[in-house]
Amino acid sequence: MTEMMMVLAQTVAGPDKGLAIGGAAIGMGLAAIGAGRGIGQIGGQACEAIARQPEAAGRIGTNMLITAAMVEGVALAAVALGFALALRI
Amino acid sequence: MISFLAEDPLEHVVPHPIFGDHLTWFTNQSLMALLAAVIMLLVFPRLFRRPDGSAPSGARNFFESILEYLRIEVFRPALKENTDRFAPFLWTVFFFIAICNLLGCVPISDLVSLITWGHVQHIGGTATGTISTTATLAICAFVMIHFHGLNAVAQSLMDGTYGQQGHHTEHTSNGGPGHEAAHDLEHMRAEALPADVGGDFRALGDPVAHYKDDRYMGPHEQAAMEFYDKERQKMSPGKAILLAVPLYLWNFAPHPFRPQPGESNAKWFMDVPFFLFLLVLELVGAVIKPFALCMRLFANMVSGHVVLAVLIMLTFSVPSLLGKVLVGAPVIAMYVAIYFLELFVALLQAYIFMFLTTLFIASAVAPEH
Repeated sequence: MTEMMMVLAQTVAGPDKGLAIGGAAIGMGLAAIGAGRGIGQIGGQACEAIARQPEAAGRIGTNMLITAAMVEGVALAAVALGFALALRI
Repeated sequence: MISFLAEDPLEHVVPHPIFGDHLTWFTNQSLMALLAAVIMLLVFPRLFRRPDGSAPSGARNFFESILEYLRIEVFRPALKENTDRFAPFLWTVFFFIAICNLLGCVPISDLVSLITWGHVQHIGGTATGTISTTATLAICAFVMIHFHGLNAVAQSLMDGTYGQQGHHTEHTSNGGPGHEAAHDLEHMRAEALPADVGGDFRALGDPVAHYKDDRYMGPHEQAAMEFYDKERQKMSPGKAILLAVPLYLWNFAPHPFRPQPGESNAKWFMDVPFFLFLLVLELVGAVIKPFALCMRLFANMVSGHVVLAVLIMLTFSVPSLLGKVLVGAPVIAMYVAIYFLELFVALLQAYIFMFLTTLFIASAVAPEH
């Protein structure tokens, strides 16, 4: 597995650039997994809470959106840093 | 015409200096930030110059509803007494970020380059799509939080009320906890109002006036309070400022196992390591929280435009013209959907930045138990 990665990485220009881009891609994918799981859990528990108490749907929805934006901020920060590291900005 | 299509779509996301080789730091995104500031300077003073008692209408109604909703539902529950001190700053932060983000969603650079047939390119962009702008906003928030936190500690040292934050809870006749809820004048003042009252609540008169003749304080308590008021040590400003910095930093963390006045002093052994650990964590957090604000805003703004640029690159990477058309049709539908999501994210991120700054200022300034 790692030998295949090394070979693939070196087919792109230069010995280090391919590894950098590959590492960034893996990192962004992991960040997407984390964000998807976290926001999915937030949405699911918000739906359960609304099912328990339908008159609080507005407040629960607001809190859900705020929390989802914060979780997404972490994941997108990982994506932005991966981008910067891959392109050596 | 071909030169239009051959450019790299990612160029819409990257900053470009407007004046070429001179002033390389003044990019198209700086121009958008200036434009947002000019819009705010044109809109708000004109609409809100005269204090108007009549029912607002039109643009004034629109902005006033947003401003009052933020003040009553977001600032006042968090900041309580200090709402009027920080509301202008927080309103400015919200509207600046919101207008910058929305200007980034309007395709100004594409329209201008279409009108001038490619001569003037990259004149518009997202001002908050550079780490410089968001880092500046985060630095403003950081300075606001810690300057006002230090100010609060220094003021309480100068008034001699350091340690009680305005509560006289230790002085009841038998040493018990006291009727804190009834004596809680500071918090009553902020929370005794109906939710739809706008404006400075001091203008309404004193809503807690009937608590001042307090039946729960007998002559012993009155004497103790007067004795305590005479014994308060007020500090000089210089000494207060010097002491405020270590005290403010020391107060970042709570004491998890602090022995109450009746318990044994051996509990300090359990308390000190946890307290030091929490202190280090909180001090690191004080730097990381504004950094997270900066990165969240920057990453959200950039990633929206990058996804759109990648979709365009996907369409144009297909070799044949038929392939481009076939791939282009669903790509356009997805582009529109992501554009709507980006509009929503623009406003939401402005709200989140302002909301978190409110919470951090409140935790630094307002008295905590």
